[in-house]
Amino acid sequence: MKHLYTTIFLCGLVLSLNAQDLARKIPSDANVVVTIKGKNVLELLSLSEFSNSRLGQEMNKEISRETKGELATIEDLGFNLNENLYYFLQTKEGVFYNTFMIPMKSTANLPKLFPRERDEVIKDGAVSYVQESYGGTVIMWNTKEMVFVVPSDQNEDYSYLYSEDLPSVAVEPIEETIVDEAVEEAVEEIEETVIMEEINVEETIIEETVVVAKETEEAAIEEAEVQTYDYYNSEEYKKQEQRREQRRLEREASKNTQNTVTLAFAKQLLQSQPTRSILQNNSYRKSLGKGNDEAMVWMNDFSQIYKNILPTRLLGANNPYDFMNLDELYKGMTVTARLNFEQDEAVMGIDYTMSDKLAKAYKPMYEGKFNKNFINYINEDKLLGYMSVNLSTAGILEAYPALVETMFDATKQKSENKKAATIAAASSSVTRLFSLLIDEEGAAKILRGDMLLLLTDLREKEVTYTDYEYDEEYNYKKVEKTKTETVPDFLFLFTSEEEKMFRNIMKIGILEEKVAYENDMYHVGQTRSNPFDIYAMYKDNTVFIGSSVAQLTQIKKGTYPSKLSSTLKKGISKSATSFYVNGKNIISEIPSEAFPRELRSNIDFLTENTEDLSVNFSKIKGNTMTGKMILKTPEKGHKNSLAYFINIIDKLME
Amino acid sequence: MLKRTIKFCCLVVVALSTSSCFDILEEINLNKDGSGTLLFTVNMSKSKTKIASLMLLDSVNGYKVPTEDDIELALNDVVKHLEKSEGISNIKKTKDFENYIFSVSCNFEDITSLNGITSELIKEQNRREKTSFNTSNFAYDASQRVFERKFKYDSSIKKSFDYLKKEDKKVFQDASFTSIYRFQEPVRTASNSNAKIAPSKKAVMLRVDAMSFILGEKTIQNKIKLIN
Repeated sequence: MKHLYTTIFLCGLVLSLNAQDLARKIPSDANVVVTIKGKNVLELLSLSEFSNSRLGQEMNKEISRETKGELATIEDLGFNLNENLYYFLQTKEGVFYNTFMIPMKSTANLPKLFPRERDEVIKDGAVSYVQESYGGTVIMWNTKEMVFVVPSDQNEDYSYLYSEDLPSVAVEPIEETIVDEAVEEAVEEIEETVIMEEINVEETIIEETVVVAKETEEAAIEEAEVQTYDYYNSEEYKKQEQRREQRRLEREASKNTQNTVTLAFAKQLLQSQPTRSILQNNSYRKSLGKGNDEAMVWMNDFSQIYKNILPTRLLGANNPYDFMNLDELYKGMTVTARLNFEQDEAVMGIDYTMSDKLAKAYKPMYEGKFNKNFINYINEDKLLGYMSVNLSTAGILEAYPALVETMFDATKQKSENKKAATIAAASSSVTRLFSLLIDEEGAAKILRGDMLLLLTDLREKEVTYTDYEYDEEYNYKKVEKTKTETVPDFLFLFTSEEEKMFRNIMKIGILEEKVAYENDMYHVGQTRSNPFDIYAMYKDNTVFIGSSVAQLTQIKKGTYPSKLSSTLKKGISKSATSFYVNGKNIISEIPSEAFPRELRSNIDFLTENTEDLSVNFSKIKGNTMTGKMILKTPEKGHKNSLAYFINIIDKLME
Repeated sequence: MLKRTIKFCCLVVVALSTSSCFDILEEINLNKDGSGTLLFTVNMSKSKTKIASLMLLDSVNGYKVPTEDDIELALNDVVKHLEKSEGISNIKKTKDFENYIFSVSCNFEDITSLNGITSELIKEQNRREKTSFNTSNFAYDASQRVFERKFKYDSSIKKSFDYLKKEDKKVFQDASFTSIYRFQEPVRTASNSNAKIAPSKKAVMLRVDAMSFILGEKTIQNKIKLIN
């Protein structure tokens, strides 16, 4: 049945269509809403195109298998492909309701999805449903819509998992005591006998007695073992069994109650509309954008989700969240993600909107200055990937104390919570001390906060290894041989005004004989904890650390061949963080033997079909940080980027 | 971030390494009376970049990567086990963390002592995994002058291999097992067709690649008849 649920959702995910009619049924306090805009999806890939793909065929097979041949294709499910599919998450009294809403063209075939006797379809007025008794999952439908509710009860009692009912550890000592006492008695008896015999009889008789005594001792031990405490027939065990049974009945009753609530939840969704729907939630409405996206995810009110995920009961008396003002930081925080499949790229835009307080604290952290010289050390022709960070060390050091103080602010907490007040006072003192001791501007001179890591090349490197050579008598000696290995070359650079500090650190390394100095370049050789040769140098307020001496030498001489497109240049210099992978370059640089055997025959396909991936996160504007993930897709051989994904899945399924 | 960079590069190395091969060497010098010396070596030098990279990562493919201390502890356990075994003396271990070569050597009083090292471990393996490996690996009939390296292939070897993830299987692609047995008298015959007899007739070498061994295509079993 799990497969069936997955299949239904996947089908819906791929196929659902335009309009927002079901959105009116989503309550305005939903924490997460996912929208799949079917019309947009089908404009990119028609149902018949999808059905002809391997993935579509597999789905058809699964539907046929699950329905024992009653249904054969995705179309048979009866989805109304002119409307949207929604998923939403709502939390109520510690229960997560994961709800999928699918518009239906016809529900006549839905009962055929449940051929097994245990999945009884119940008709209740205008709705029909199947409820799984264990987890309480409900599939319910009327003539136009289907809802699929998966509850997750965070209040569920897990106490039966703990060791309360396990046999008491006192059982073993009881057993041992009985045995020990019996043995002691027997030995004393034997010893007495031996002493008496020693006085009156010959040595041979003593020997006989010892033998008899030993036998007596063994018999006593055996007898003692027979008398061993039988835990499973004890009163204590019976009482525990009763308690277990009582708890089982309580759990079952609680589960039944929850199942009834879930059923009512599903019914209400189908038969009525909430007083306030999500369409009346401004944050959600704003996130809808222009409606050109294929899918959209909206997440609201993180503090509520945190509270529900981590209920106080689960974390116990020392729940750290009792001492934190999560509301202060996370209230009003939303995340919106929009997925767009374009002709030659798949784009996911992410908006992260935070509270005024959080935005005020975060803003200075992301106000880093970009070192324009970094651009001179990137050669896009060979570049395999990069990661850049433009943060402000001074901003971070200034913001953290304020953040910590807000997080533990006692005035915002319950007055009776003495522990929270103590923690708040302590954290405030520590952060104040931190602010006084740290010179933010001084620290920023050491590490300004802008860094760039480049994966510059994959290089064939000759390495030595030990092997054996045998003479004709198979005596062997160790010999050093060489072989080539593919290793990555990296270059890591960060801005620092503290040349003196850099050189002093290197000097310590030289004195410790861990670092070698030559041509104004520092060399840290391979060690057990570092399988790479690393070179470091200082130039133009920048520390360079890299694995290729040739590249660092070029940088030192000013002959490094730099080349960078305006797109990447913008990504690195304007973003707070930026990440890029040149898929084509990587595939072409990897030796064919490094690919799994099953992919080796497809290397040409991979080379032709792998493009760039980039992820950029902007600085904070207003209260929002914007991110964009772009996966470039080849136009040749693919109708668009969605078709590209289906084609790639097809190829991988071969 | 530099440490993370190095770890990232280690991941790249691990991903790009075509294989991580290792060689196992079993060398026995047998005296006429059945006593002798054993040297057991594991050589992972060919994969040393990969192993050094792996050891910088906490876990790979879901397995915890052993630290140098873990390896040291395992070697000490082997030595302790040998010390407890009857008829075993002069136990020595060598470790080379630069090249990842580890070996243990010892003297044995007779073949029973040699078998005693592993018999309990094999019995336990057979009991627990329902396998049927020989509980004694060697036999020596001094009167008939026959030395035998026993081995009975059990299908559980291939089953265990099939159970591994694809990435983990790569470890065995270039691995090998080599045995060298030396005698004081000349060798008349060696039953294993892959074994080579030295021109002096006093040594026999057998090299079996791990994949052939796992698949049961080649065996390390060898019955060596010596000239009386």
